[in-house]
Amino acid sequence: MHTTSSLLRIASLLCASAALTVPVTRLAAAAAPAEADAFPSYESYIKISGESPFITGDGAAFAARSGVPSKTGTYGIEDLFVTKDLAKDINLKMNGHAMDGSEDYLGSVVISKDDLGSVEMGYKRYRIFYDGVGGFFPLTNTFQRMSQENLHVDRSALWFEAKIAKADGPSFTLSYHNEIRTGRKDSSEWGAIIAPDATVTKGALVGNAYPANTPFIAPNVQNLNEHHEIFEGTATDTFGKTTETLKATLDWVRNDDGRVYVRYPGSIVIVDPTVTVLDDRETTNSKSFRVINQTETVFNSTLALETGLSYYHMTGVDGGNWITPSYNAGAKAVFTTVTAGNVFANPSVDDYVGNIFLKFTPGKDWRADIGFRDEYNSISDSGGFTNVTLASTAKNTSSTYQTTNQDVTYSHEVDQVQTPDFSVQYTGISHLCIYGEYNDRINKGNQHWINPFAATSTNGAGVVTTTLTPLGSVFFQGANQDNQNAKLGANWNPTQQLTIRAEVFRKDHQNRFIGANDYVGTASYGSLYATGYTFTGVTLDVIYRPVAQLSFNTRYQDQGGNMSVTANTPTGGSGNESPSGKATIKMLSETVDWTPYKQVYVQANINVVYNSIQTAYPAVVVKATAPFVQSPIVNADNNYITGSALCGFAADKNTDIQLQGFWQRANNYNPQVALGGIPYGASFELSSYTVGLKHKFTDRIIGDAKVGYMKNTNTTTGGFTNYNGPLAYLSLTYAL
Amino acid sequence: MSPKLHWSKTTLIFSGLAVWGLLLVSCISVDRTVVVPPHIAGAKYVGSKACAQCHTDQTDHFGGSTHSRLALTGADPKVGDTGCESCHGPGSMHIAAGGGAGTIINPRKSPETCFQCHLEKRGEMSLPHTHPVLAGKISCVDCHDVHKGDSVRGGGASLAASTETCIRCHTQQAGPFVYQHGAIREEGCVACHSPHGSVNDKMLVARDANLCLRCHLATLNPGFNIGGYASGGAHANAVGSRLSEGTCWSANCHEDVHGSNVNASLRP
Repeated sequence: MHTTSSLLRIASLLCASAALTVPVTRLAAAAAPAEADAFPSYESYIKISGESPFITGDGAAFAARSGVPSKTGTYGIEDLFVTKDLAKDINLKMNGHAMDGSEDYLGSVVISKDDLGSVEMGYKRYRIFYDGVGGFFPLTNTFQRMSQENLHVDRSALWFEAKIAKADGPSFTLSYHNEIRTGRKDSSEWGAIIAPDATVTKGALVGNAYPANTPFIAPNVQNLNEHHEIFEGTATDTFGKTTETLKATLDWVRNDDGRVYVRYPGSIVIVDPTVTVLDDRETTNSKSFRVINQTETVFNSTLALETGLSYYHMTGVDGGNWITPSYNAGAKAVFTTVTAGNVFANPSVDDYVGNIFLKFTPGKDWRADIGFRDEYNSISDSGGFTNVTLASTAKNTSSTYQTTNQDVTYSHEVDQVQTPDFSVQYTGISHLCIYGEYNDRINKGNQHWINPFAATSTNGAGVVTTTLTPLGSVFFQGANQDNQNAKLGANWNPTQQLTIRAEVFRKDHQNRFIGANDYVGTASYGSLYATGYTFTGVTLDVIYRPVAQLSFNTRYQDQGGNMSVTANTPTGGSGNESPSGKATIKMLSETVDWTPYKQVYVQANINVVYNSIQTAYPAVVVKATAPFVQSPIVNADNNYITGSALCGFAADKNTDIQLQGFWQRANNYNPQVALGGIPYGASFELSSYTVGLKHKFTDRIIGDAKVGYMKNTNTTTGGFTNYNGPLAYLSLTYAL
Repeated sequence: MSPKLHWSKTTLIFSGLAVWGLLLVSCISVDRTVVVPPHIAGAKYVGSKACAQCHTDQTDHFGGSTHSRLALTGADPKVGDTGCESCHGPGSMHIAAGGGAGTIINPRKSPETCFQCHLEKRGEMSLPHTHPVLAGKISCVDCHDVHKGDSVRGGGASLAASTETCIRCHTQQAGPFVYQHGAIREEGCVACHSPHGSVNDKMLVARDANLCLRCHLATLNPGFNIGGYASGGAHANAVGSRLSEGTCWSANCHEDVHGSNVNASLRP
């Protein structure tokens, strides 16, 4: 059942391949004119292109990685740019693209008049694809797909902007943006982790019954329906030595998102992929207003002052539902009891920010900025739920079999943040720039939560609403945060051949929350929770160009940090500060540019990354006897290597050939650990090779053809998302 | 129907020889300069002062920007005493044409310019889970201010908050919520996400419980400590417990990781 689409795709591959043979046949006749520019840059042009994959394997994984649907490919207007003088001082610019398949569209028009301003309007839309991986479980060689549909989310934006900007006069800008995000994407809930016929206790496989605490993790997807509108007006004018900018923004968010199960929790085999169960739904309707005033005063060549004031106010109405179904023993039939809840919240935010920067330039070689930021942020909210539970013995959904509970929490959170900021830059030494930065975010805040309800009550005989009682619980805590950031660096160009840059940084962030819980009539106890981390790191860059035709660009980054926690002990007392985690990141990157002859260039680069997070749990010990896996909380390794190479050369007077290779590999998967839980560690390998040809047919027409081959293997998904196959790309650019 | 290619050693050897032969013929028979992307063919450096003639919006505040540290007098041509041209390429043809998009490098159209110095970002952006920058659907400058102030928005004493860059597009995660996740409040989104790319789904720093256990060694309530004290409760024993079976936010546990309106433990 291959359709016209398939034939067209194969034809495109053949055309692209045929196009690649053109320079070979012409080489013998190639002349050798001294022409520097075979491919002119056009001011106005249209580029039409098509890309066809011929993928064997998992098309969804290919689409998620490449942005191109595997079955249809993508084709259309890849680029359109038009610039035209409508009159002596009026210019028109149009920009756009329209690619069917990848659903990538853009259209924008800007008309500008010298010394008056401009008007712009446009629309853009693009699609993000998702692979819908629900998890792979090596115990049963089971792979779960979150959805049988092709998952994707579309982002679109419509905008309009008008600007009046006369020379030596005030400027005004008015803009409107309407942004929409809709579609269905996968979530990070990966699927049931234990097969129905096996259980894991203490890491060992025993028996074939469900363990008592099987979590019934179910693959689910998220439905997104998000709208965001922004009106913004900006006015800027200069009064004497001061330039002042006033900006006002109206922001409206309307979201209606939901999580949806696409299969029954606990079941391995998708019984009926069309059955969906709503898990929860979150709606947001918020309106906000922000006004910003900024000034910049240049007193003289050595001193300038910048100030800023901002006020932000937001009110919102949040809503939503959740449904918690229960399942029968086989976890395949319809649920027998349902708990449904209506969630609500009414947040309100007031935020005041002021900042000031003194900018000193005492000499041509010195620059120092001293800044200070002060913020008062107040968030008031009341949120809770009304919950209806249908009795397991229910014969129908009448109120007789329902129990209603309700809950509400009133919260108030205040942050009072002061941030001193200091930076200095010195360029007094020839070919050297030394700089340093320091800032410290200090927050003295507090948080209160009051829940006036006692524990909910139930009565299976009929409708029961939990009655209001005296205060159910009160919780308050003081927030004491001290987050220091420091950076010191240098940029040195001792010769034309060598550039060296080095930068060291340190972050020391301490967050301490001390408060008290009071469950009225039940218990009271203090609470302590303190987290902190210190991170240090260095970045070293070396650009070395021994000869004009060859350069080496090296970057090495080494970062490491420790995290700690202080909290209550099980007996309620204050515990000691305990190390909770350690992170190490080392990255080595190298790019080589080589132009051995003016007709040839070579670029190659490689990134080697070691990234590991260790938390305060023992590393895994895999044994031959039970328990096979002592602890599944092993280090989180995120190591990978990426390499690519590019070679281009002139094949004849009007033809370039480009060869490109790409390879990427991560090897962090531990199948032994995967027996006891969600598979830890991502392992995959992707490689692609492309041969491209660019040919100038006439001074106004340029063609580009590429054929390539791509191969992806994924161990984390048990190979179920592997794909491979050739790709073809063809384009034609026409100067307008 | 889809054709399958079979790559053998012989295929690779012959392909390599053919390409090498083409290259040799090219060098012998063609006398034309091939332009290395993303450069502008035939253009020469003119200096930042020329750019300031028209682009005052960008040049007026460049002196205080992060990137101004690269603009050194007498520096390497690649970095240049031509601050603007170190990213936008040589500007002589742009000036000769009186402006225009085709005669100057626009990093908004391609991240290749940024990758020349931020080498590691090329690798990160090509990971399976990343923002669609390489696909051309968004660009580096959608999140970074390169002409004014700190390249990373919301840092230090600037007016903006550290999360503003992310919530401009990810509005549902903006909150506020009755119960906020403290990590967002303090560190912003990057506490848990690697926005340039990750080997993990959703650009997570880690794809398992380690992500949370970095800070949540113990919870507030006695008897519900995660590991360590083993005093009972859902998290008492890391082995064979829910902690081992999945991640903290799966299984309908702490599902609302960005904030919850109904539950202090960020349950839905």
